[in-house]
Amino acid sequence: MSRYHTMLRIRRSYKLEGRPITEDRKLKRAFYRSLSIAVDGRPRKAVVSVGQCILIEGDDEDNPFVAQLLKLFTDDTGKKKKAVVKWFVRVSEIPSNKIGLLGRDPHPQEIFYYQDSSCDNEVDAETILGAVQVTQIPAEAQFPDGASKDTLFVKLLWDTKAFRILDTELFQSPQSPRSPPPAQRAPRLRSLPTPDPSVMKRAMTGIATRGSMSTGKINSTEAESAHSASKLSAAKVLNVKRRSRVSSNPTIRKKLDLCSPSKKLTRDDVLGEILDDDQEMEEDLATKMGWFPTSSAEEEHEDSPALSAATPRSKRKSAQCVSSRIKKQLNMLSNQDELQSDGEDAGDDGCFVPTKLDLESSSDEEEEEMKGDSEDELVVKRSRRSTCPKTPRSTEKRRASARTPRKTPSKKAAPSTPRTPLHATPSIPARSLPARKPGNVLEEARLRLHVSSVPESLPCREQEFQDIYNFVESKVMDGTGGCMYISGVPGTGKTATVHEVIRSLQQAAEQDEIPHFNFIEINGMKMTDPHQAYVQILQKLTNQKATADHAAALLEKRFSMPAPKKETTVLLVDELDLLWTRKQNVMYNLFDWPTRRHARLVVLTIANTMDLPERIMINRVASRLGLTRMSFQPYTFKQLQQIITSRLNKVKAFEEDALQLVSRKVAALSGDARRCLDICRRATEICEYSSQRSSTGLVGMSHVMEALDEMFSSSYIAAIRCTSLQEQLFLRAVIAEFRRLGLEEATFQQVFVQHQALCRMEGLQPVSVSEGLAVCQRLGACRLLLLEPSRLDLLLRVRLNVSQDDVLYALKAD
Amino acid sequence: MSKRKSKDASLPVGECVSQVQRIMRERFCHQKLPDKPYGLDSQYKHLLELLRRTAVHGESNSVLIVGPRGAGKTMLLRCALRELLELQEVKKNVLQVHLSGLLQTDDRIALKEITRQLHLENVVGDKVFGSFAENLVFLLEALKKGDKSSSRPVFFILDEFDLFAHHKNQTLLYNLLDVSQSAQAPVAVVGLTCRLDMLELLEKRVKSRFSHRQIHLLSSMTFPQYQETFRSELTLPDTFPDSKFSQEWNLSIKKLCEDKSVEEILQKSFNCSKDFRSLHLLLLLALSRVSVSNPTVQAADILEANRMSAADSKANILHGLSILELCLIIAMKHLNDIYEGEPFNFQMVHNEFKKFIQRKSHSIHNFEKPVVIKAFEHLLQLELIRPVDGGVCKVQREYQLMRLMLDHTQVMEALQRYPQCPTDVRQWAVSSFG
Amino acid sequence: MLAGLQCPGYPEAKLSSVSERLPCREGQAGTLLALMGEPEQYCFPSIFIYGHRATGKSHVILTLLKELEVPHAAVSCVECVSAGLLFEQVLLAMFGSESATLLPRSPSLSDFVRIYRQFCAQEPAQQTRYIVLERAELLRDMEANLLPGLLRLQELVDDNVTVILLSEIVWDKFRPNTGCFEPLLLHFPDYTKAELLQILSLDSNPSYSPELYSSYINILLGVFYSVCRDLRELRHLAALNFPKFCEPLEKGEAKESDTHKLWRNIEPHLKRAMQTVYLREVSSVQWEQQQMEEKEATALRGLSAHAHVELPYYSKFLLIAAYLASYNPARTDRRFFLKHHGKIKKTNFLKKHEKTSNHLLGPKPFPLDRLLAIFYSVVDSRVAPTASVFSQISSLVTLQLLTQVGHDDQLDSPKYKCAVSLDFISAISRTVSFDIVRYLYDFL
Repeated sequence: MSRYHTMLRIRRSYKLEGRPITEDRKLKRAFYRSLSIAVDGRPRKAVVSVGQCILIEGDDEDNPFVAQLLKLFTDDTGKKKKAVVKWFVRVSEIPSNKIGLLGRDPHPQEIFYYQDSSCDNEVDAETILGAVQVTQIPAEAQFPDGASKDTLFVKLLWDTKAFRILDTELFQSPQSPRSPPPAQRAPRLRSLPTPDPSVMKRAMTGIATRGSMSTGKINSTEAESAHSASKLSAAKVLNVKRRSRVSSNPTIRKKLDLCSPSKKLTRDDVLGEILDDDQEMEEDLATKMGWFPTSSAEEEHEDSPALSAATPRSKRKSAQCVSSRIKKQLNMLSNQDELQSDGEDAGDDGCFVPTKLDLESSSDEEEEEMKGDSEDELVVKRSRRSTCPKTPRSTEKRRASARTPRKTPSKKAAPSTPRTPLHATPSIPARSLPARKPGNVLEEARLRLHVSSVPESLPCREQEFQDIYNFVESKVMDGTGGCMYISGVPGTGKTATVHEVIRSLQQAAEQDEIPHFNFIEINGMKMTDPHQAYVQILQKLTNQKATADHAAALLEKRFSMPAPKKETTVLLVDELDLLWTRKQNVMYNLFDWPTRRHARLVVLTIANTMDLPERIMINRVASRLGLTRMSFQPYTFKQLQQIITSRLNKVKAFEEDALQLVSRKVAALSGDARRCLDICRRATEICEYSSQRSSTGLVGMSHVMEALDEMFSSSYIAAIRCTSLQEQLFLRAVIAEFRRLGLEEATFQQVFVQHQALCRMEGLQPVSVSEGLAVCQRLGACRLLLLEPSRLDLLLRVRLNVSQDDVLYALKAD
Repeated sequence: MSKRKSKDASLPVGECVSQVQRIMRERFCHQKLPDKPYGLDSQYKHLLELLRRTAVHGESNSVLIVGPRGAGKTMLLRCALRELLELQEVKKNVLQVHLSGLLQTDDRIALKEITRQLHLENVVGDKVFGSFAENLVFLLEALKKGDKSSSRPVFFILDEFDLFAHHKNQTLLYNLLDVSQSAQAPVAVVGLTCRLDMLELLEKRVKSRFSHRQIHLLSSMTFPQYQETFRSELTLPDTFPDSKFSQEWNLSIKKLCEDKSVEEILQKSFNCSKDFRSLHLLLLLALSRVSVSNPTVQAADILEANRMSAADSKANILHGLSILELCLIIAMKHLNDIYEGEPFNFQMVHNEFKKFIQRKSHSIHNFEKPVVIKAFEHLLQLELIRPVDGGVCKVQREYQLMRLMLDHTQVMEALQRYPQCPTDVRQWAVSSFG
Repeated sequence: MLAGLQCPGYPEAKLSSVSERLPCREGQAGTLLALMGEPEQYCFPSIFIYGHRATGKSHVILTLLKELEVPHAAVSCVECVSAGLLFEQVLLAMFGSESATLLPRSPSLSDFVRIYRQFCAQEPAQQTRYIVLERAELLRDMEANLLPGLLRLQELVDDNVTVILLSEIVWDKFRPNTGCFEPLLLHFPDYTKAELLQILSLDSNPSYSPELYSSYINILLGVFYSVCRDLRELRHLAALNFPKFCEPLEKGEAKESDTHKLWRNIEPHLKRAMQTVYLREVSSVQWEQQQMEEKEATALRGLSAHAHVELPYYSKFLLIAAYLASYNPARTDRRFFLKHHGKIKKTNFLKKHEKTSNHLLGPKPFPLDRLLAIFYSVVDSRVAPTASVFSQISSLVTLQLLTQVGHDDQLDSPKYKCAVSLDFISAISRTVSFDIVRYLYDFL
């Protein structure tokens, strides 16, 4: 099919034929009947007219997407040509683990009528490649062989779950493009924001379209939210009335579920989650029955998702079938597992938890786990280029081949031997025996206190949460871009808060209050040099692999070009300062892209120094970063205390004053929550293994004290006390010499003289110079002394690494 | 063994001796693990529990074992692992990754090594595919995919931990510790270092991710305990084939411990350093003198061993100098006395030397200047003198400023021990000024 | 020790053969053997042997290892410009070529250890393996981790391997800053005069009686012993000068018995040798040629290196001027170089006594104009300050008879130092018949 290549190379000019057949005044749209594609260098121009089947430029040049053209119109500006289409899927676009459902191996030229509520049907007309011949064949009939290469056959219908017989009236070339009756659209929009009109319309016409395919560059990673991408257009329309609500409504809501006992929160979003997707299947079902779930949509809009999810829906009949899942979800969450785990044990629902999904920086893994839901296509998309054997562990293989370009030094080298990392999979082998569950209260407590245990909510960061939330949400709403700089000393919950925000935003998106966006995270510390940032962003955005420079170019293009369909991208850059380069071009780009008109990029940057912009950034970078800054203050002891208690929730393991002590101590030192938690954990251990358990069996003052000075007290004094006699003498000698010289520094030779004298005083026989040096350098090795390199043996200069008083104190004690 | 003991085979002496040698050398040279770490119970318990929780409960942890050289850090860790791996449930699960700051000198190498030891899938044979960046991403993804309940716990054991802190950006440490603090594959990061100021080396975000658990190995050993170890190190186990021999041996060892001179030596070496390595060194030297002709360790052997290990190496070198070189050194010593430690150049030394020759030398006749220069440069080679400024600047070698790297006492001592040293040279050396 | 070496596990015959190949080193060999123990037993992870040059460090260890057929690798660090070479040689010697080929392009210690382990697993050691590193002091200049790594190699590769370091420099100067595994120190003492005599006498000339040769050696030592105790050096000298020693016998002027005559014949000759061939001012070949010709006396004069440097006339004066400029204090120029001496009172001439003369402290830098001023006053004929003069100065700098001090950027007044010794300059000034000593402040 190389001719697509050639066609891609050559410029095409598009022209709408004839006069507008209808006008839509509200949307200022003029609808046309046909579009002519003039390919320069070719005499006759191809004309595609409404109702024809067309090829649309996709990310795979050899098999462009197939669709039926429904509408052609110019948007409000009157310049941009748009088209409304109805999608087909090629065999190669079906997830390889689904293809089995077909029961026979598909015909190369076979395509499927695609019925799914989850994708945009509005396409930039300029992506149309040309017309194509699609003929429908009754299900039982054979494929006519010897047909020309460019006719495609449609036989079945694919609704992301199964293949069904395609009844003829679904697919027939429509005589006249149905222009949407504006009258009925507008009021509905006002009354209920969701699900958006296109969905409804499709629901009625029973036409499902597939959005993410219509885009040239945008690849499947976006599709964490692809199944609701269609709502985008609605969101656009809604923006007006949205913006009024943005400030007030969601914020209140968020407050709500922050205060609400966190456990509940998770249950809710899980619920909301599950319900959301069974709402989808409901819509499908609606498609059959032809009625539309207005009611559900309304109640969903009116009351907050957090609570609504639980109550009104549960009445609905679909609830029963879900309830089992819910249970699974809940106990899973109570174990506070992370999503990979649900990937393993909780099967497909795991990956439905949006919070977790988007917390993930790279989305490959959990997509493997998704079985039987619309996301599955994406994975295939990724792996389309390298088709791979279907095996029981096909997900495994698929992932592997997906990574091929990235994992092998050279694409060519790989396939030669079977055992090359062609199928390399990053994974730690599973343990043969399951891990033990916590036995007693203390162990339980320790588990909850571990920094890793994902907190259900973040206490003491409401304000910051609020600000970031508003910032991101507003940007997402009106599809603009922006940067935000977040600073704060380590362990003050910067990253955690941002993740929390994203989580609830995702949730909101699930509930269709805000348009969908995709979230990408990179960490300056997790790359080997700043320019890797490009590679990683590109990799996570569109699953392509490229060299740093190339990636930079691609991203540049992506963020400056207007793309047919684009969601807002939220990019979290952690440990920003590591991205510093001499010319600072990485930072520059990161902050420059959001300012582009079509970028729709929101960049959240995190670093632990407040004045980073002033210190390391050159002006042009700093200015682009802008003034939206926020700094996380170290936790106060109250906050720390609250954090611990909220983590422990209800598990009674600590005495109050013990907690007090810890939090006060830590607050005084660093205000680092991690430290605080670690100390508490250590305390529980001490308590557990200490012979004298406090009467209550709880962690008491004594234990905490022990833990504290284990971690904070400097070990120097103890170390000095445990050094050998000669070493102690040498330390004495050092001090004596310092006193004599009145300096903080002396050469070994000078000190050694003193040392000899001291030896005589102590009545020891003086040591030889070599031994003296050995002693000195032993002290140097454990950094009680600071020494110059041993080459200049006698002349090496000696300094104390401890204060003289400490030394004297330590030596006097014994 | 017990069977052989029962019939109490009496082996030829040579056989016994070589048996003894084998057993002892295992102890002294190969750091054979003791059955139980001696005097470190609390630390041992702490470490063991920590590792056990990672292995069994899949709880991530990080800990630092700090102690001076030869305090038994590695021994402690090895013992803990040994005991841990006896548990079937652990043995089947745990993966271990051993790194050493001496070997993995930068993150690139370290990453490859980790990938190799974990047998991740981008390893073929012992070849790791992919670039540095790719390896990092790969490893991180692997760990991220893991989870506390389902995937095997990994022990990361970083010997010479301080050296890892010198890697660029401390990327490796950051990521390992980050994993240990986030819900990913359960890991236990165990660092061994001899630097007390380890934590200051960590960058603050790395430091924050390190659970500040430190296990300090500071031996508060008393002299009696030291003697006790000395004895136990030398005594033969009762599984020794020839019980008769072993009884005699152990008896002689007991006698040895009571010996005054031996006790002195022990006291001395105890004063110098408490760590076992130096003791082992002493014992090995003594042991090496045990042979068929001399089937037990005598006090004399200990003395000899001590003499060998305690000798001042510089004095040994001085002993081998030619008389001319010695004279030069004396001249330098005088210069040091006159200009209290100011650097000197060859001209000055030569001048002093010539003065000596003219004034009061009978034995030493004058040498051509080049010959003297050659001697001077030999001293330079032996690093008994060193140029003040690396010797890079463009001055004639005669005028290059030097410092003497010998102590007054060393020179004098050397003179005493110097074979047939002419008296006038001696006098010159002791005379207050050149 | 005269009982010879004894160590269980090695055949007696070999031991004895070894012991007679190690004259005067039985002691050290014995200790080493004892430390090594029986072949399969463990030995201390690392041994550090230090001692003067040519005290048989490597000789002893290598003969032991070779003769007793112990698996070992001997590498001299001088040959290893990079650690990679060192690893390669070790692997090569231990496990053969295929192991060395596995090393990546610029191998790290990690790679080395990995490959070592891998091969170790294939062929586990029945005997202790030894790695001998000569001139170990050079290890300090390689990667910082190399030395500590080697010292605990046994632990790192866990194999029964022992690393032996040989060096002239004491261990104290090796210890890395954060400490390391302390090796076992072993000192090789220098040979006593008697031992030297014994060893040197071994390679006696067959055509003469050993007594004669040893008496010759005696004379040789009498001259050189006080200067040099390097066995190799002495052996070289002995070989070079023996023919000369025998000349009278050849000519029949003397018999082996009258040693005094022989002594008188050889003694001055050896003295001369010390000033020339010992300093490598002439190659041994030249030296032998001169012995063939009878006229060394004259030949030798011309030999010392600094005699034959050919300079243009003015360059010589420039050099002299430079020398004066850098060894005389500037304030004394007036009285040295002012033309009409008559007016100045003698009293000023008296030299104030100073602690150290400039010839001890070395040359002082001087500005260009001072050089020129002195130059013009020293050279008798009028010379125009032409470019040629300046070019000659720069050429002197390139010849490294002058050195330019300070930065090159100071174009206005560059400073110079004179970098030649006194006898060199006096030789030069003799050629232009200029009595330099009269103008030197130190020699008033």
